[in-house]
Amino acid sequence: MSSLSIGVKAIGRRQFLKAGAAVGAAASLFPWLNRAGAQTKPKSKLILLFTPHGTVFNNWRPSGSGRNFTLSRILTPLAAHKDRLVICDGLALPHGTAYYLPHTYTMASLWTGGAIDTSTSLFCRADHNQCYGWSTGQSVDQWIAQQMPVGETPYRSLELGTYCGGLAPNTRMIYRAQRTPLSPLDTPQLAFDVLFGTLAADATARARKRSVLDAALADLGSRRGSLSVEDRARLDAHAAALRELETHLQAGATSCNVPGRPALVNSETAMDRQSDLLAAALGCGMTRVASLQLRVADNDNTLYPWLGLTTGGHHFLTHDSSGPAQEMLTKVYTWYAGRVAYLLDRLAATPDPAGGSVLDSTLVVWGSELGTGWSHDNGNVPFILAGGANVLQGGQYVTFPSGQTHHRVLVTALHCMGFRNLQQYGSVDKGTGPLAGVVV
Amino acid sequence: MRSVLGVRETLALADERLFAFSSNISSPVDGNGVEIYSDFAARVVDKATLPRCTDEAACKSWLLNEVGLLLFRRPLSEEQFVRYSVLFANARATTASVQGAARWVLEAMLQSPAFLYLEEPVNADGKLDDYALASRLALMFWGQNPDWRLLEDAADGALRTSEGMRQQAKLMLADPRSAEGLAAFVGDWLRLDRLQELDARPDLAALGPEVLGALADEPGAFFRLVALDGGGLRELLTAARTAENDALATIYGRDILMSHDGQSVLDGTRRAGLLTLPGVMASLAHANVTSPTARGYAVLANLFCAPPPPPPAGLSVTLPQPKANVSTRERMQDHFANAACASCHQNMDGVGFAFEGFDALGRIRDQDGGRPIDARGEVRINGDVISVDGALDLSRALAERPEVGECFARQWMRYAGGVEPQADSCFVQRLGQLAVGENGLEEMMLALATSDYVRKGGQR
Repeated sequence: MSSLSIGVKAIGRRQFLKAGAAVGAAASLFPWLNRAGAQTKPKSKLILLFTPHGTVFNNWRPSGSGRNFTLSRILTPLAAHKDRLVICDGLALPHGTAYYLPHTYTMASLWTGGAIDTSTSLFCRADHNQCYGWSTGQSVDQWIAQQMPVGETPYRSLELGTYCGGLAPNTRMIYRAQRTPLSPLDTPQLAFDVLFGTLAADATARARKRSVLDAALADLGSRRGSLSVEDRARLDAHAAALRELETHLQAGATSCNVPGRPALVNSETAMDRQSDLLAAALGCGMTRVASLQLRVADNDNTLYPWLGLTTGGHHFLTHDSSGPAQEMLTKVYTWYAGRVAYLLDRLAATPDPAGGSVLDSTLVVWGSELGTGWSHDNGNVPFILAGGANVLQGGQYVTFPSGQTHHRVLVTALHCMGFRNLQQYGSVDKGTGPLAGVVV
Repeated sequence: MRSVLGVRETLALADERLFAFSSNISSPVDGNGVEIYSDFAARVVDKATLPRCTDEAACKSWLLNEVGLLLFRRPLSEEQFVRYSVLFANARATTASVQGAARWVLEAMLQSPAFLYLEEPVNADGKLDDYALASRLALMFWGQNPDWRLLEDAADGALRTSEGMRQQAKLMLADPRSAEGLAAFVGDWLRLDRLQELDARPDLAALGPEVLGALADEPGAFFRLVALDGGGLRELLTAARTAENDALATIYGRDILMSHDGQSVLDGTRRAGLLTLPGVMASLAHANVTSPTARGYAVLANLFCAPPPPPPAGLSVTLPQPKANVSTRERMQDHFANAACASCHQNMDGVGFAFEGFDALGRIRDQDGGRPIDARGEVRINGDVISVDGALDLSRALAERPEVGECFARQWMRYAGGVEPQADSCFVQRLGQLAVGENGLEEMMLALATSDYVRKGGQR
């Protein structure tokens, strides 16, 4: 355990100060560190990362091929991690439905490899004359989380994001089960309070919380009888979530330094503050499966004043194929790449409980809900894998023949996480295994 | 919760949107959701002062008989009574103070499904029970939980007949608390949350929070004033008066003739009706420039329930930047030069041009880009083409259309039910007819409240 303690301290006041966060370094109870610290080999971890509205391919596509390539303008911020990247060019993101409602339908397919539910009228878009519900698939991270031994990590998975909006199929990408979306903690303060706040509470407060949750759980139980099948399923899911919350409150003896509560958060810094927390959570062994979502898939009309985008907004701009619009978009996508680079930096700077850095054994899969904004094209969607030497053979630029689908990326994630007998993922996948020569 | 514990606390959990209306019915509470509810409950009870909890017995009775009733919108079941009594006793065993123990019980109640979900048991005849009906009414008209009196009346059978229901609903509309419920409806219906998108609207941000708040509040207050004064859809769209609000004096300027008794009388040749309220106009604009497209779209989507489709793929949708001596209307001509754009923009912009007499902050203007305002517009709906000149003319024309009445009724049903109405179209049509009639807004709302549609919990 001694090496662990030193490692945790090295998470560093310095970095968090640099990040503009107040440093609390509150000693908190992290019972699972005992188990995590006893590991001999670091366990692989997965992060699914989303940014909206594809890219500008002319400024994204590397020159060269295979292991001999040069990063393009948009991906320049990732230069320091070039050897950790597998850049995928030419993968389609099929929606698997007869009608294609851009953004929304592919968001439901992105990580599930399945199709949105068009047999229900939970949500309707009158301007398209279409009704739909949630994805009929389970997202690949959640399938993996389901295979993990119960209690291996205190959190089954973590969902973080920024500005992810109200609950709707175009704003959610993670599905615990079919038709069961998970909502991200979408501000850094909220994420901090949930992940590190309750842990900092004293033993009496934890006892109170457990008793209180017991009562709420019992109320749920006594209500099941008279309900419809659907409502009963909703209550059961709610009860399962409460039980998981109880496991987060388990008392323990080992301490772990946690970051301070994020301060000075705004639309320019929020994503990086979430990356700080995500890296810290993985470094503390809180989970092995996570996701990070920057904004939403449909009509994200965010302004980026610090990039010079001050009117109209991102989605508005993606509909414009003119030169000046594509130039502005290039700046936005380059900024996205900078955010991914920051996350990789943080993971690299965070010690793994089992030795080395968190990044060494983490796979980050970066995707979007479409490829080219102005045509809503889903025939080529930019996917980039980034990961440490324990999980990924990086430094590759791979082009795919027409017709290859993003399911190859999903299956690659499964293989990197140790599920190597699977060659197919999601109801829309026709299957042919993972990307060749990529999995360690 | 605010009325029960005197604590105001925001919940960091986003609602979903059903069309424009806030809702949360489509998926279960997830792991992050329970964490957020749990933190929320803890913060609320830490803030509550609990004056009734100086004496143990009095405190316990208050929690189980009064707080439980109000939070759960029905009395505690026997099982719950025992459960929360035991929790209180266990808490007393580890906590020195009565107030400390009370916090355990409150924290649990705030995470109980009985508080978080609207529980709607049905009787043998397939209709909601008394307490569930009281909750539906309170959420519809007040945007909050039923109070003690309403729950008592409901338990005494006050809502079992249509007449009783109507009487109760009428009282609730007249109650000051209906300001909150009606404002929630109008705010969602017209998407007034756009007024909060200040990143995109430095011109709005510069008005300051007081004026901005007044812009957002006025449409709801206006709606309530018209409804309680016996107005129908025609008055809603054409009445030359509004709720008095000093903060908007600089926006209204000389449009207000006089103010008394909380109302302002407008110069009806300049401004009249819901669509011409400054907050509505200002929400449908870009920074410093009007958007005839957004304004036209809003009329088609909100009043006709017929939103035009999104732009086809691959079109350049960026208009030329504003220039000196060119009006917004002239800039929009680009929309018509391209046939692919024109097919939809003729409809949207054609309606929106009628509002060109109002600038991006909702102030009246007589010129734009150095040109006199041309506010002639055209509404194309169901095969008719209606020519109008200005927003007042447009509003009068809209008030004549049966589609508008029916759409309005549908919007109210979406708000009141939190789901897309599954009712048959004859019922919606009938509500729409009521809305355009005498005392139309109130009659329409009362007709829905007393209908079998509500009694059966929104089932057909």
